[in-house]
Amino acid sequence: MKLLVQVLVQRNPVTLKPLSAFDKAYLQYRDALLLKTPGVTKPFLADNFFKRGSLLQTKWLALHADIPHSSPSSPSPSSSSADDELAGVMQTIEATDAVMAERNSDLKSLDRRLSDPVFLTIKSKNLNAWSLPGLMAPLPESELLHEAAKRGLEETCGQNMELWNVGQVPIGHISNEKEKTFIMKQLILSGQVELNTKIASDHAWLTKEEMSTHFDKGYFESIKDLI
Amino acid sequence: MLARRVPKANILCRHLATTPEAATTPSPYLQSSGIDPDAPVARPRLEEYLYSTLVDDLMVLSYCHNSPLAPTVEQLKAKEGKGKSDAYNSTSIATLFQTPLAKLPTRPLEAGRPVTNLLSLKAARYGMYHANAVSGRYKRRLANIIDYTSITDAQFAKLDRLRTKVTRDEHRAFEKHFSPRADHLPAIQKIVLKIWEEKAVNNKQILLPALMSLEAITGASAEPLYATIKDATKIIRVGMPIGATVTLHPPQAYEFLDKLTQTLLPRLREWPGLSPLCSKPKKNIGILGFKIPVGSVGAFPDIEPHFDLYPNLFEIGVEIHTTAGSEKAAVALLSGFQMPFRERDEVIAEIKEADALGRANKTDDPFAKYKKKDAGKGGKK
Repeated sequence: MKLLVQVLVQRNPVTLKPLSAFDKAYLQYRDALLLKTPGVTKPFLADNFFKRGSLLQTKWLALHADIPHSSPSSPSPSSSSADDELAGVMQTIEATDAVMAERNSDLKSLDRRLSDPVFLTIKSKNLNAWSLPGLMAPLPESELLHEAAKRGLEETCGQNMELWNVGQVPIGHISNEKEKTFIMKQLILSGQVELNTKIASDHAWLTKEEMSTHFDKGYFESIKDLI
Repeated sequence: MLARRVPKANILCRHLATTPEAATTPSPYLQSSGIDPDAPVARPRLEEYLYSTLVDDLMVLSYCHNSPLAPTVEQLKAKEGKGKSDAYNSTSIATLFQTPLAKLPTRPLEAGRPVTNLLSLKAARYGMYHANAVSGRYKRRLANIIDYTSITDAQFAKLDRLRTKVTRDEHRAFEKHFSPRADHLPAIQKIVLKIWEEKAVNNKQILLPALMSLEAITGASAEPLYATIKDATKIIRVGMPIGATVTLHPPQAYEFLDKLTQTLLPRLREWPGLSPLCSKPKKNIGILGFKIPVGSVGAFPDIEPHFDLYPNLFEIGVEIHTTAGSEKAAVALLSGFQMPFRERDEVIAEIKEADALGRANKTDDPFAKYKKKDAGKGGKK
C-alpha cells in the first residue's frame, strides 16, 4: 500500500464577505434585541466627556445632531457636512472595484478574491491535470507526514513561501486499492510560488467553486468536504 | 434610536448589495421584521473570522482521533441517511418553522439574555447549569412529600454535592474527549473586566472614575462590586462597594478583544504576554486572564484624549471566558485572534520557583508573628 502526501495551502480571506439579505436581517434582528436588553449599551452622555455648556460641547453636539445610531457597536455618523465625504468614499470604492476586478482575473495573484479563501493548485506535467501540490513519490518509511509534506511542497513550489502548518495531523485522506493519499493543511503567510517546471507546468490560486471546474469530478468530490 | 433615513447612505448600501435584485427591491425578510433596511449593521470582524475560518483550524488542532466519542466513518454515513424529527437535528427548515416559539431550541427564556443561534445556546445552557449548581443560603429546599418537612441542611448539602459532582464530571468527560461538533469548538463566551480597589473603603467617590473608565472602554453599563468577606484590619464590612465590574457578551466581547489586540496591547511596555495556564483549573477551565497595569489604562483610545477627566485610574483585571474544555483549546482560540502568549514551560517554571521560595520562607514557629522584629515596633501583647 503506497502512501502519498498532498498539501492544501490556504490563503485566508482578507476582507469580510458581502452580506446576503438574510445575513443582514439576522444581524439587524440581533442588534435590535441587544438594544432592548438592559445593561448592554450605555447611552452616550456628552457630560462625561465635555464640560457642561462649554463651547467645545456645543460645537460637537451641533456636528452630531442627526446621528442615526443603528447598532450598539458601531453607530454611523452621517450629517449634511459628511455628504461630500461620502461622495469621495463612493468614488474610491468604485476605483478600487475596478482594480480588484483586474486582480481577480489573474489566477496567480495572491490578492485575488480577497473575501474568499484561496487554495494553491498545480498542473502536473506527467498527468497533465490540475491537483493539489504534494509529494510525487511514495512516502519513505523513515519520514513523518508533515515533514514529507514540507519537502514535497518545497520541491514543487520553491522555498520562497512562508508557511504555517495547521497541526501535524492530516485533514483528510483519499484511498484507492493501490494507494492512500493524506492531505495536510498549511496556511501561507507571505511569499509566492516559484514553480519547478520539471514537475509542474502551471499553478493557480483558486476558490472552491473554481476548483470544482478545474479538478476531475471524482477527485473534487473526495476533497470538497475538507475545504 | 433606530435610523432616520439618510438618503446618501442608501446609495452606499445598495452598492454593497450582493445581487442586482437585492439592490433595488427590499427583501421580504426586511419588510416584515420592521427594521430599517438601510441602516448599517455591526459586524464584529473577529466573530466572522472565527466562524468562517478559524473554527476549521481549531478543529484540526484539537480533534482527538482516539476519543471513544469520535464517530467512525460508518456512523457518519448512517447519520447522513436519516434525519431526526426534533428541531435540533432536523434537516427540514419546514419542521423548524412549524415548531411553536416556546419550544424552539434557540429561545431559552430562562437564559436572561437573547440567544439567537445554536452555537451560543450551548454556552448559555452551560452557564445556567453552573449558576444553578452553586449551593447557597437561599437555595430552595426539598420537602419530604409525606409529611412536608424539609430535609436538614446537611442532608441537602450531601445530595447536592453528589448530584453536581456527577453531572459536572459528565460534562468534563464529554469535553475532554473532543468530537467534531460546531458547538463543542471553542468560542468566546464572555469577557469580564474587574476593578478592585481597597482604598474605596474610606472614600466611595473614587469608584466613580472606575465605573466611568470601564464604561468608556466597553460601551456597556458598569456595576459596582461589593465586599463578600469582612476584614476587620482593613475596616472592610460585607456589602461595602469596593470595586467595579462590567460583563461583555458576544458580539461586544469580540469587538473589545479586537480593541485590546490592535490598540492597547501593542502599547504596553514590557508586557510578556498572557499566561497560557488557567488560574483555577478544577473549576474554571477555559478561562484565561491578565491584568492591565494602572499606568497603561490611559492608553485606551477611549480614555487617552480625555485623560484629564479621570482623577484616578485603576488596574483592570480582564477575564476571558471561553467555551473551551481544555487550556490548550482556549490558548489556540485566543492566539488565533492574535493574542500573544508566554511560553508554557517558562510560566510553569516561574510558578514552581515562587512556590519553592514561599516554602523556604515559611517557618514552623507558631509564635513567629508575635516576636519583636526590631526595637522600634512593639510585639502583640
